[in-house]
Amino acid sequence: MGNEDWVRIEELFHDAIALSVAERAEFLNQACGENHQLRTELETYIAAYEAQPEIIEEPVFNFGLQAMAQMESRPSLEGTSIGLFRILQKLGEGGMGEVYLAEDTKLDRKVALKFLVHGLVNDHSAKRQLKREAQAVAKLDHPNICPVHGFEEQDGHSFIVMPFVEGETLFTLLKNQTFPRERAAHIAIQIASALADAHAHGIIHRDIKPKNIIISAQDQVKVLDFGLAKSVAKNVLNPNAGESRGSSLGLVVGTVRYMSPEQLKNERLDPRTDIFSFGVVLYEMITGQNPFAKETDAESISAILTTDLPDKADGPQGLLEIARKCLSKDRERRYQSVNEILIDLEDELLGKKKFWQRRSSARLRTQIALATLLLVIIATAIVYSAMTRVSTLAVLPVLNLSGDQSIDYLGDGLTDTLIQRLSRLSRLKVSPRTLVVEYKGSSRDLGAIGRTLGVEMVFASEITKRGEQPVLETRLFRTKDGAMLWNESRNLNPAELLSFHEGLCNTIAEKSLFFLRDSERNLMLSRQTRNPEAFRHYLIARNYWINRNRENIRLAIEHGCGSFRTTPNC
Amino acid sequence: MDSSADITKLLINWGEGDQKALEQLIPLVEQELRRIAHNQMRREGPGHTLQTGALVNEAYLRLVDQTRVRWQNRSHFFAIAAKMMRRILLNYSRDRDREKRGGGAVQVSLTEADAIIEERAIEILALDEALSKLELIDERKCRVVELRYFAGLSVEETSEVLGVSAITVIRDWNMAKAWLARELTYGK
Repeated sequence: MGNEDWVRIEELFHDAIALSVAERAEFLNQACGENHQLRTELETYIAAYEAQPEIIEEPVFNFGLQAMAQMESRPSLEGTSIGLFRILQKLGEGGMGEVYLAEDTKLDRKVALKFLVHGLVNDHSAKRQLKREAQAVAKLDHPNICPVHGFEEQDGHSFIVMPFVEGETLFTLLKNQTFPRERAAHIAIQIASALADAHAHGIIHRDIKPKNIIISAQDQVKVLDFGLAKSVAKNVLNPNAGESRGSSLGLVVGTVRYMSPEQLKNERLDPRTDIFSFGVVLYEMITGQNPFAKETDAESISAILTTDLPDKADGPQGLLEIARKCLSKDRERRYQSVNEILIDLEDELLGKKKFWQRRSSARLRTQIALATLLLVIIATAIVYSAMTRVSTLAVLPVLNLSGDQSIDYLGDGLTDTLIQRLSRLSRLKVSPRTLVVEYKGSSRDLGAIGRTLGVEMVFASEITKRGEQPVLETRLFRTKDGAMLWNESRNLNPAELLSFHEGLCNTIAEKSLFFLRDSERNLMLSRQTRNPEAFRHYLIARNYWINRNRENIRLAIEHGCGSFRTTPNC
Repeated sequence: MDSSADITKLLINWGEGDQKALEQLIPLVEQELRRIAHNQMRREGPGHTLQTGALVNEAYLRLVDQTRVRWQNRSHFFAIAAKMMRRILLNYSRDRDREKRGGGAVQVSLTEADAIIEERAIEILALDEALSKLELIDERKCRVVELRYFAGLSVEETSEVLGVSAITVIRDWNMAKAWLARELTYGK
């Protein structure tokens, strides 16, 4: 490119950016004419200028000074005072922060102050990041998340003010021990509830590890260092690179052993990255071993990305199962939300069976709901079919074995009216009298009769005498398996025949059917005289009619009329 | 020590065209910058967050006997400071980059602070390369970037050092940014 071209391009560039976006096209048309190369060139400069890349916006002189001073560490802040805070001792260092124990001289309480590490004290983007962390945690209000009292900018320092949490980090506690099942579950539940709350507020921790978990003497958990591992510096080459990635230039930041595969691969992160890290912590709590602990970070990375967990590990198997599910390399196959982990952990704490742990609980609940629904449907179907199903019954002639011929009429009369009444029930198919009349013999094989007639049940009864008292002995016999469904003797008083008959109908119907509806009972017993004497005449008349000959027909008519006469409203 | 007298004399000599004076000046300025850097990190008073330009000025005021220098000497000093900072950062960034590649194994387990510094270093390496190309096309624009970016000078200070109008500095600065952004995005 010649110098003339360069000068020309620059002139046009300045003229163009002074114009509004709408005016530029026209301007470029006129200025470039047919010179497409010039126009293309100009357009790329204008586009680059408009994209407002953050390069060289913030001078690096300070950074240069920091770089020069980097090897010398910041003199400790211990013993100094910043505003109303008297700094007592350094508690730790990590991520981009240094944490000091301090005294709030106004409220007279201990606090923890988190400063930027030495090298970043004057880095504006790091300061913004620290402030963002404070703002993120300020949104959260959860017993297992260390809260934020405030964010201060004083005397050239930027720092987060937090309550001082007394206790040990999980890192320290895990040095000498593994946790028994219940304690591990108890602690894991608290970590998980902290994460669930953060995730519900759209905050991903990204750096869950034992050093960020403080446990009090009462085993109360506080999770620290929220929303920290976020890339601060913008990518020079691609200023629009996704912000939720671990680090925009592909640098891996932090402790590798607790990182998810997607974090190591610098992919876009979602809450499931915390689920993986949580899984590592849980695994370590119960087995005493970080499954990805290796000699070098390179080996650890390789293990996280490619090596399957050992098939067997010592420790409570239920919790191991949960950890394994968190540790799936494919995030689609992990628990999809921390709430699912919580359900499984609580089940584990309550000692539920393995079955419960194997399935993701959301799916499990759906399955239980479906199974319940199915059971209800089946039960309804059974009841419904039992209630609508037609049963078959044979009522054998009532035998008079009492030797008292004067009550012979009772036998045939009862048989006939029973058949007649029971036949009214649509669910009960009663063999007609003509089919059963032949089974009048005294030795009856009920099973054989049932099979011959092709009925499910056979009702047989005999009149006997107990002393002078006539007794009706009844049996309801099931053909299929010979079961005696009902077996009873009841006194038979000719004066109470009507109620006796009704009671008998009722009982037979109830015993033969699954359930006797009131409407069915009414139908069965309807059009029945309420007059016992009339009924007695009726039975006698039926008997004569059944055994009819010339004389008997006359007697039947006589009793029939007697029956009518004794029924005033008839 | 009376380095301030030495530096003042060297600045004057350099301003009068003595190139050897520059060679002697550079290590002295660098040493002073280191001292400032160190103090800057240690300082806890209200002056802690000085503007960048003020820092360079402070270095100048410390280094130079003001009764003896003319205003141009300050410009020379700024120019040197900017070039020096560019060189310091380039070396520093190259070291970081070499460290990162040198280990054989993947470099991980950085602290967040390390990572930010590392990214800045990579940014500086890329920018330095582009800036060297820009220097071939338009040297003054390269100077503007050096003064504004590496030394953190204001538009006015930059115009003073380069002896051009503030408008020109702004135009150079805009064009240089567009050129660098384009180079960094499409140049490779």
